[in-house]
Amino acid sequence: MNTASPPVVLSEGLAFRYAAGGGLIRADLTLRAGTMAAVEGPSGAGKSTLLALLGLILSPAAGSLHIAGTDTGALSPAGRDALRLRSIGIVLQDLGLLTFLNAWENVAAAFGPRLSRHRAAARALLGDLGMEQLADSPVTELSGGQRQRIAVARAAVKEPVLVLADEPTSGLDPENANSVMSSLRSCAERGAAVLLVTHSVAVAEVCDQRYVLDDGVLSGVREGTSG
Amino acid sequence: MSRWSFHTWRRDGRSLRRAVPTLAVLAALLTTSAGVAGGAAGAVERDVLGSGGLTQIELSSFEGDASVRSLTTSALREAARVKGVRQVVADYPSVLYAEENGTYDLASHTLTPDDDLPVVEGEFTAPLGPDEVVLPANAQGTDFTSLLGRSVAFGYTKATGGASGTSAVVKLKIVALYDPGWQADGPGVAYLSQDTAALLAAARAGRPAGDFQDREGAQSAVVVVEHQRQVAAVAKSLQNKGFSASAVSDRVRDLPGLFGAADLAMRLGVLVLALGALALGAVRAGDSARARIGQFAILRILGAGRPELRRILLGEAMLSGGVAGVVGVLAGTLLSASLAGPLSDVLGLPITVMDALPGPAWATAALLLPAAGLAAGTLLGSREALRRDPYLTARAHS
Repeated sequence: MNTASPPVVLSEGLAFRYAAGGGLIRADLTLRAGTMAAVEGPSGAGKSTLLALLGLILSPAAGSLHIAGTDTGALSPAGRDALRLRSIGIVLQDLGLLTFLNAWENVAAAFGPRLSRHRAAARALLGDLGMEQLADSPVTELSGGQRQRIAVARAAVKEPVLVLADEPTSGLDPENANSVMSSLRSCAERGAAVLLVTHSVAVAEVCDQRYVLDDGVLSGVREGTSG
Repeated sequence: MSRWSFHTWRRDGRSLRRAVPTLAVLAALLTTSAGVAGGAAGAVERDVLGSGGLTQIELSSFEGDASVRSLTTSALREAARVKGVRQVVADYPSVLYAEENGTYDLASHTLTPDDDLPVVEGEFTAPLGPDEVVLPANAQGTDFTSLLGRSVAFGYTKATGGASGTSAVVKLKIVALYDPGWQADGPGVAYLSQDTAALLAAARAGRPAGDFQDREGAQSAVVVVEHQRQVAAVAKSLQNKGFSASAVSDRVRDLPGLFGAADLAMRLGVLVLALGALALGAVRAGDSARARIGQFAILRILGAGRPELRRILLGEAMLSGGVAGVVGVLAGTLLSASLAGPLSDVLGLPITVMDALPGPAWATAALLLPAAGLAAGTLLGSREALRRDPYLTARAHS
């Protein structure tokens, strides 16, 4: 972890309250380039909501959030969407791939709808991940592990400054889980800040930073065991 | 319209592409109707105007309507004196029936300049002589072919009181026979000279012909104008004199009855197409957005804002409507063109393929309305489905 590098994510007093009046999330968080951090917490603690806040899908009720030096509170909704498209890669556990696109097109979709312009980059990345032979396959014909690796490839292909992953290894066999974690680690090594939400202690232990989200409050920063 | 629309429309079966068949059928029906109605109206107009209709004005008397001038002898003389009028021919309807051959009961009318009889046998020169008659080749089971060229005794009614009358006989030479399919004045009509028609009508009313023409007058009359450019001015002048006068060309172009109904049906067709597209868009867009909420959530994390998701649906609507419009107009045009022949046979008028092509306004409506209606319906239908962020909806469902 490079403590001298500028923070990719800097949130202060970030708060979100559900419209239904349920839980409240408070988060102070600093993530630097090249860092891989894990957020742990019980089900329903608000981990996915925190991810949506950092991914600029949800708007905070209070506090500030800077992504790559940009004050996201000053951005219009379109500006937030543009920043997400440009700078953030997101991997979701159960909202995987676009089923009307094949494997390489799903990866290229990270850049937007002009898929053919990014065919080479998408296919190259799939090749690096050892999935070149699956590039033209309909994603509905792929296994869960293959789909998840393609989702990680989609998040990584545009080399974003921030990668957010929601339970990236959930339901995967050890081989696919290792592959997914390796891909996320590669993103960090290329200079991205990676934040993943997980229930898995094993996954959290390989991260540089570990956070606990409990009762809506992000706290208890602990150093990871590996870097 | 979003570029994503091209992908989703082509590849996702849940997209608004599903609206294409219904809209294409509606657009094809509108186009076919426009072609057929336009072809038929055009052929009739050409037929009527081709027989001198461009220089004719029709006068009508409306019995019991004091505001309309009666077509009496003096009134018709006054009409004939209007500048530009070449000829006035009055129609006196009556009935002729069989006296010696067959059993028939024919309506009779004056042969006026707007009667362009399709003669099948014999010949005549207008105006007819007082002892001449033109009959259909056959009517009411009687074949008149064998009587052509002969002077035949016809019966007519001579009124002797309010509800009593006697038969009288008039001998008329059958100078020509026309195609009985031509029924501009109804089926089985005998055409006479003006004087003979007036004589029969007067007898039916129990009055001397001169007195009948002076007091009762004709039912209608055709005014022939010297030049087409004078028609409007002459019609106006006649109207100022109290006549119910209308140019035949105007009447043909604004045909009442069948073609009026066809025009109304066309307008309803446009409404059905527009509302159908709107309703289809409203229903399908809502369903489609709900069915694809997971897909939309992924597009959200890929940088698509909610306005873009709406643009995706709008793009699908425009593509679907556009394709439906093009397919519908092409299919409808082909269908109406292929119907030109059968329609020609039914109407007994020459209708070419070009006649049966839909007019540009109708074709444009059929082309554009599916896209416009579907897009408007999509805006309405997707509003509710996209009100909540698809990402949150998908997360809540997962």
